[in-house]
Amino acid sequence: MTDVKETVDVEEVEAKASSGKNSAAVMFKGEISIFPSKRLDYLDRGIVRAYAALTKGNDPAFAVVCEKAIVPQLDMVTRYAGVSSVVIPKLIASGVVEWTPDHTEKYAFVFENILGNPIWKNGNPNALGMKPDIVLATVFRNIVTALEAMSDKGVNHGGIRVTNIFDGGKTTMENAMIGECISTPPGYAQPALYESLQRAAAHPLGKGPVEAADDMYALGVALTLMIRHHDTTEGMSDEEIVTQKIEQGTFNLLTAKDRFPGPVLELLRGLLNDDPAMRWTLEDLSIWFEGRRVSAKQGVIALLKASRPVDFSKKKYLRPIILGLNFHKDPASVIEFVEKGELFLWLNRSLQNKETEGRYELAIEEAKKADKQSFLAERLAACMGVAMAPGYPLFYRGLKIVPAGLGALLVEAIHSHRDLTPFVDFIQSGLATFWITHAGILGRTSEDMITRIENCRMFMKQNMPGYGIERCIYYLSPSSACLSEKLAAYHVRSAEDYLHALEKISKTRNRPDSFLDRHIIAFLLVSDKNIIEPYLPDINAAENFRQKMGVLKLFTAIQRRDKMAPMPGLTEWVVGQLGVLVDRHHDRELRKKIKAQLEKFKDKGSFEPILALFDSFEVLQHDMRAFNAALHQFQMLRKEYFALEFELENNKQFGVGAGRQTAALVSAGIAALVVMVYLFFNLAMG
Amino acid sequence: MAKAKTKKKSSAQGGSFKGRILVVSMLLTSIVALPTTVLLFIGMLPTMAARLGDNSKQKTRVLTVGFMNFAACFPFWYKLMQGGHKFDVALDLVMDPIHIIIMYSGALIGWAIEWGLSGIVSSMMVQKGYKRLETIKELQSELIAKWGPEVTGDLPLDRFGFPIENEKES
Repeated sequence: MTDVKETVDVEEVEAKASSGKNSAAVMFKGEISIFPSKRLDYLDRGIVRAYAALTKGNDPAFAVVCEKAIVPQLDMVTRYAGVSSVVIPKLIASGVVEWTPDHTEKYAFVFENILGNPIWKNGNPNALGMKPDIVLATVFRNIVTALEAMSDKGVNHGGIRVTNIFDGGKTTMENAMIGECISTPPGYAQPALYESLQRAAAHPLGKGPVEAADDMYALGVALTLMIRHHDTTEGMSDEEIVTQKIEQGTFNLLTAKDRFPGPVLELLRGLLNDDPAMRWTLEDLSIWFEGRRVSAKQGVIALLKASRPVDFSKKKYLRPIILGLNFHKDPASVIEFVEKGELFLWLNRSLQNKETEGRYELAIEEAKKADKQSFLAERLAACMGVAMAPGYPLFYRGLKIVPAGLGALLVEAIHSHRDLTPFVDFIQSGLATFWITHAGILGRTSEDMITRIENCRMFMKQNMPGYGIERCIYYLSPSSACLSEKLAAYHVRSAEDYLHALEKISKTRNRPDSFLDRHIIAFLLVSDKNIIEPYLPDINAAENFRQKMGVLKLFTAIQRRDKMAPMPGLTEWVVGQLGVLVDRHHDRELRKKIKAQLEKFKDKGSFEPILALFDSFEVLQHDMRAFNAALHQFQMLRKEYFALEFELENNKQFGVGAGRQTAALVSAGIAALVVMVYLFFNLAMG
Repeated sequence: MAKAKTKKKSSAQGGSFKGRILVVSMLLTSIVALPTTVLLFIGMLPTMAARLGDNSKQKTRVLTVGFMNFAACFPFWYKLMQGGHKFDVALDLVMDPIHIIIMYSGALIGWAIEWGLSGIVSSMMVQKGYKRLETIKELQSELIAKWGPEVTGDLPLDRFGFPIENEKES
């Protein structure tokens, strides 16, 4: 657990938790009371805290309040709830709770609390010294029952350890129970002692999914620790435990100082086998419970040992696995170690294992493939690590992961504002594929892992919002809440949650200028692709008006599809930013009309009428045509003005021609009149 | 080219032919109506002078002077006709200085009309021109008020007709 303490700010979480010590109960879903002041430390999972709670019917319960950095196994919730076993705590409710002690939204699980006391309450959890027959008849049998029930639903526990086992309210252990397993990523809170060799060497968040064989191993360790009287790993660090497990074998390491009854020894040998293929399964356990002998199995992993040690970084190594696990500590020396041929000579002469030699050659080739030479040493160390210790975690620039555990670790790294370049390098390089190829993972799991990493590599190639490392986070860890800084105080898990969060943010003073960022876009693209993809070209456009239009269309689509209630705060906030869309109309009078209508709609809370103001092609086309006509008219007027002005200023005869014409007409008229009058008088006078 | 030349030649020949016929017919008419010819030739000498002195394109001065000159000649031509349209009557009429003064006064009035009206009308036209300039300015201002400064065409516009600078700012 040291790694967990290194990577998350435990003090910060403690301070936040303690700040709520005197606060009142937090209501969850309107009927469950969670008491922030009543901490249940023994149910904590790393930085994920547990609190006392009461159901609607005043039944005791406990709430596990998640942190954003530690992604719960939400994909397992339904299956966990369907497990019919009284040995695991029943899930009463789960969802987002307004965690008033630190004024944020958090995801919480509420379980029925009939766990009783932890079985290690007054002892050393690494050596409880309980009677084997009692343990086997109560605690062990109950856990096996629970595992069988979970297995039926396709759930692996990943948290079987002495500190997660409870007496069920009876000191006789008849009702012994195992704690919950869905509030954290698999294996997050599991100490290295309980993890099989490969998982034990990984970062607590980078272990990847738990297999049934891992539960069997943890069950064996828990059983040993409950029975034994002596702590054989006292004072050992996680790394030392892993090294000792490899050197001695888990069974030998854990049982060295104690005497166990024969049947128990057989059971422990089966459960603590370091080769998952040879490890006992639930079926083997039922055979053993019936008193029959479990048949021997064919192993696949041989823990190789050389005839002579090799010196690396001032230490001697006999086992290639241990050597491989230590390359990352001194990557610079690995180059020299390889280039001088010391490693090859040792492999060739002292180890004499063709497979390892083959992997060695491939590791050199893989390391040379790197586009950038800046991290060649680290890359070579990582590849050599895989070659020497296939199936063990990949060590690269501070990462200790298996590819399947990348998502959970990325989430934690983002949340802790850690440097992401090792992750970027890891995805962009072929290290993951190299690891998978040599890890002994077969079939669809291997193909699926390679596909996922390849997809991530494709995401990384594009820099526009919706892609990049952010997309990888949500793609690899689909249960993660949105990690946008804008939504830091909210637990957003869907498009609907996002709008609800924005509605709350709209009422705060320091609301941000924009509604979207790279995280939100990537999150929506993974969690709700259909709702955002049609508007992505607009959202990612360089023009501000297109971005605003994209946002407006997105919000309208979410509100319409999810039939959401009016959101007056958000509409008012959005309308305040739509000036740029109003200005996309040429006609100033039309702009005024639209502004007046926006004023009318802004506090109504519905996006539909707001979008209708801007989304009419006919209106825009008419406006455009009328503007073009006006543009032409203006040019014609300008031409006329200049021509007339020139004439008036330069033509001294301006209007004279018209005057002469008028004079001719007048003259003609007068002449005709004179002639007619003369004729009239002459004819009239006779 | 050859065809065009032939056409030009024929048209030139045709024109001169028509002109000749006109001149011949006018000569014949003037000989036939010699008393009228003498009266109008003497009486409308100012009109001929106006024709020679008019450099304007439209030659409207000839019309203005000519109409009034003819109106002043008309009573004497009427007397000539009533006197049997005889050559000696025509000579009597043109030999009387009073009659000549009356006929030339008509031409003078025509001159006066042309001088006075063309001045008044041209000044009115200048005023109207300045008024039109104001109207154009007002119309342009109205267009700017309704469509913004981009309607002037002085700003660089994008394909939608919006100022490119504003777009960058926004």
